[in-house]
Amino acid sequence: MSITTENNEKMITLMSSDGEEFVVEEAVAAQSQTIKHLIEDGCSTEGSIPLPNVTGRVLSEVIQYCKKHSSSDDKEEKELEAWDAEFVKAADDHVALTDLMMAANFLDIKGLLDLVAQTLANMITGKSPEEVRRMWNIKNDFTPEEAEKVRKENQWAFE
Amino acid sequence: TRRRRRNTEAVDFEELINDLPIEIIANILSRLPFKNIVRCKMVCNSWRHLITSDPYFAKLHLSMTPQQQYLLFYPYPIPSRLRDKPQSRPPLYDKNMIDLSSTSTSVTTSSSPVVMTLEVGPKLGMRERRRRALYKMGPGSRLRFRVCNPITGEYIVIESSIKRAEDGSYPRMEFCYGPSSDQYKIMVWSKPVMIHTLGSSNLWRSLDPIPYPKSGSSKAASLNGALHWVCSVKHQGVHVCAFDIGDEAVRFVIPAPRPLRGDHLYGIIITWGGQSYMRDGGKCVDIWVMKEYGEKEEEDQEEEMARFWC
Repeated sequence: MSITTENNEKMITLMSSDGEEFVVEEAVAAQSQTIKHLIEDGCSTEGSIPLPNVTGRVLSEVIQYCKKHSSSDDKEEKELEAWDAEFVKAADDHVALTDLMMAANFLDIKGLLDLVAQTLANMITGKSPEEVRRMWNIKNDFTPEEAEKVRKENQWAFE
Repeated sequence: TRRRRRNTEAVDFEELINDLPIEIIANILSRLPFKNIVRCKMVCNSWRHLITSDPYFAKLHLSMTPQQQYLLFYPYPIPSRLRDKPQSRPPLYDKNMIDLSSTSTSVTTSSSPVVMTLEVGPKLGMRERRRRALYKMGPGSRLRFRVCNPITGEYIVIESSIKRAEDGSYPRMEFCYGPSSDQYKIMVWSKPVMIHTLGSSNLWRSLDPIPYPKSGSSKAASLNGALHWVCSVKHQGVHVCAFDIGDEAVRFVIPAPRPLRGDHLYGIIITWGGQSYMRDGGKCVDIWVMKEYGEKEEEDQEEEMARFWC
């Protein structure tokens, strides 16, 4: 069952992994290629689309982004850029951004994926390998010999 | 409760990172300047593998950040063996150089990568495969080329009437792709310079007289549908020539970033990601980056990008 608003906009319900429900216009949700395909395949007729990979916190951010980007046209490009910058700034840290990127990847929202990936790339620019590891909790799995070899090979990039 | 919650979050996050799909990591890393990409090789084994040996990453890096393709210009000392006497047998590869024409050829087209296996660079894992496929030539023989797709193992053999020189050496060869004409070509620095378009039976054409012949033994570099090589312009010193692969005309000739010095040869490489470093037998190498492709630049616009020891 789908709900229709006064201006005849079709609404659909998205359900997060932790059971939170979000009612959004179809045009907003369809910014996600994944959701768009689900709608096209008739999966939304039950009224709600479950998104088992996305938590409510992340989904609300994603919807915020999709709303903004479905209501703006090309003329407002500058304003949209500024909005995007604020949006990733509000996401606070790389942990939240990584969550957001995982969601954008799963939901297949290219604009959001690019935006967050670029933000994360800017964050690691100039960081040492150790800092990058700490940032994402990555285990250093090089043996001392391997580490020395890789370091020697790439010495110039550290000068 | 607050501390507890934090701990749980930390654990969740650790799991999340372990599950972080490689395409997400590739997406982020491919946006970095190449020096940073090289640094990221030291983060962990899977990142290193992604950066150095995953063709998907190479393609992604080029497609996402075309502005990060640089034309590099480097001088390196002449190897003593070239100064002394002619070689008795053709070297399998020159340790001073990396064959990047094949790398860039394999990533400048959307169709499956085609790599020519005539020459290989120094010990980089990715190139081992190509080295094995090297076509060995007998003494006094005519050059025969083998173009191979290392992914599928398919190959074609192209015969030619170009002969090895009497001293046993063989001319430099380039393998390139021209997106405008969608053609792969083989260019041989013999006398005269010969060119062959893949798929056009077995015909070779002479390119004589070539306006700015390549000087030195370095390979040309393939970028933006053009081959780039180092040439000498009379009374004006060392220049870089860009030769359009599609229409086989000279696109531009620009002066080298600094005057030729002593017994130095110059070479050009195209860089992407971490593949762009080169070995130099312990000698110092200067690298110059062309900031904006095709601009006729003054010397001071070129930037000394990195000075390193290998």
